[in-house]
Amino acid sequence: MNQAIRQEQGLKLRGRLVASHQLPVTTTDPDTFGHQLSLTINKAPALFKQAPCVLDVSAFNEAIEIDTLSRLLDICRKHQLIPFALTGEKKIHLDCAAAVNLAWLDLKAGQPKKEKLAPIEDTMVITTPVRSGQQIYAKNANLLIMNQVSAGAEVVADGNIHVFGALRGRAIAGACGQPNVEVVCQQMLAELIAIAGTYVVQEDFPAGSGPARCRLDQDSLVIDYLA
Amino acid sequence: MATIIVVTSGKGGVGKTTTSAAVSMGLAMAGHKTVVIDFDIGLRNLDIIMNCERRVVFDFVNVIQGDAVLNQALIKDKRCENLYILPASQTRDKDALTKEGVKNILDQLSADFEYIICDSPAGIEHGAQMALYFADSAIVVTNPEVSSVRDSDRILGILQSKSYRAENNQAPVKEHLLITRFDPVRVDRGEMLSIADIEDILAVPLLGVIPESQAVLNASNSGNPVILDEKSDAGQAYKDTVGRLLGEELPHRFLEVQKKGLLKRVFGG
Repeated sequence: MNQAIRQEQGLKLRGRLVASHQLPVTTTDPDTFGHQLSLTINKAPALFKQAPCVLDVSAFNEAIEIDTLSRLLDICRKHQLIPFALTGEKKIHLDCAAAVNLAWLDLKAGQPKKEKLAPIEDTMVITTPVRSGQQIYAKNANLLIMNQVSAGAEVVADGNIHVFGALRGRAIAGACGQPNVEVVCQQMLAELIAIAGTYVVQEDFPAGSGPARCRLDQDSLVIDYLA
Repeated sequence: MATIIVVTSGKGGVGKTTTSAAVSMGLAMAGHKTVVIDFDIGLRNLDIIMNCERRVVFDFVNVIQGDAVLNQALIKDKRCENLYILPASQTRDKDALTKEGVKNILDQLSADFEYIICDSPAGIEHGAQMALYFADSAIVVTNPEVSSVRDSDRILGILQSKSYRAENNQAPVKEHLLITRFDPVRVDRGEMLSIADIEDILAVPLLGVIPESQAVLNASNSGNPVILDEKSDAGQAYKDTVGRLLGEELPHRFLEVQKKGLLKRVFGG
């Protein structure tokens, strides 16, 4: 009975993360590579003893010759490392990995996927003053404030923020990462302006006063005074 | 139906109790039956300023908890027959206040009085929120300094978001700004915020400006609300304030630096 079950079920697979060293390969010359490797290993020999490692060949724009690659792998094994996979630019190096019997690891696999940003379709309108300690968040929307924003208040929107009054608190536009949004206000006295995670505090504002427009220009936040 | 007015500020020591005493006395003297409630449970002060601390038997918390009926706790002012005081408990803490308890007392008082003045404790915690929760209008007391203005802004936000009127989508609590301890000399020197600055930051209609005055401290110590000191500038300013609260249009006084006359310059004063 037990045997019958065993035969039908096969192996139970488990997905597990395994820590491994990633060795960036910058040269195809075996002597230089060996020298670099021993320098690294001598810093912490225990760390590399019988350690699984991945060779990162993304420094090369062309496929490495199989013989060269085999020689590099031999050097690794001589240093008691256990190379088991190759990583780099998939199109170029995938075949190399197969030829030397190594697994292929996708570099991108470990990186977080960029979530698609929800489109900004709505506008939230606030007519009363936003007082110290209050927080307003316009989710997937622009934020239009027809009054003032006090010091100590926080106005946040996934889209643009327009304040038709004095902006003395904090304004955070593009809260989900939308970079093409702006903060516009009638009187610029803000404590902090942030757009898509890039921020500037009052201390670092350019000199000026009155109405202002804040936008992102290649990852840096620009404040233009309109008067 | 009584009008419930909360005197609040966020920050401590700006003159809430002084204002509560003066405004309630002013309203009573103008012929309106008024009661002033001390919400500062545990730090009872209003009865001292109203000079009735030796007549306190039962207090606000006793009434909420059913140990006494309202009429036993109300103290009638000896100077003005229209004025009553409901003192705070000195031995309890602010958690003794409940929404139901406060509502019950305010409902009872509403039947007999025209104005109910709630003297709020400092801060924005439970005690202060209880004081402002049922308010119809608010007197926000502010000193001409940045931290006081910031705290007033915070309390204005709470008035518009956490009061009974806000939570039940009724007409918002009517806001009044009262600037106290105003010193035109120091404003001229740039050491204090000007009235225009404060109005600009808070965007609330100005009800009155009370000048910094020795008379206020004297009044507190002697147990006479400063509004009774008709010779003092602070007393007159509070009288104007009450007038405006009742709908009169009065110009703001004591905003300019008083020029000293020759004799005062020679002999000091």
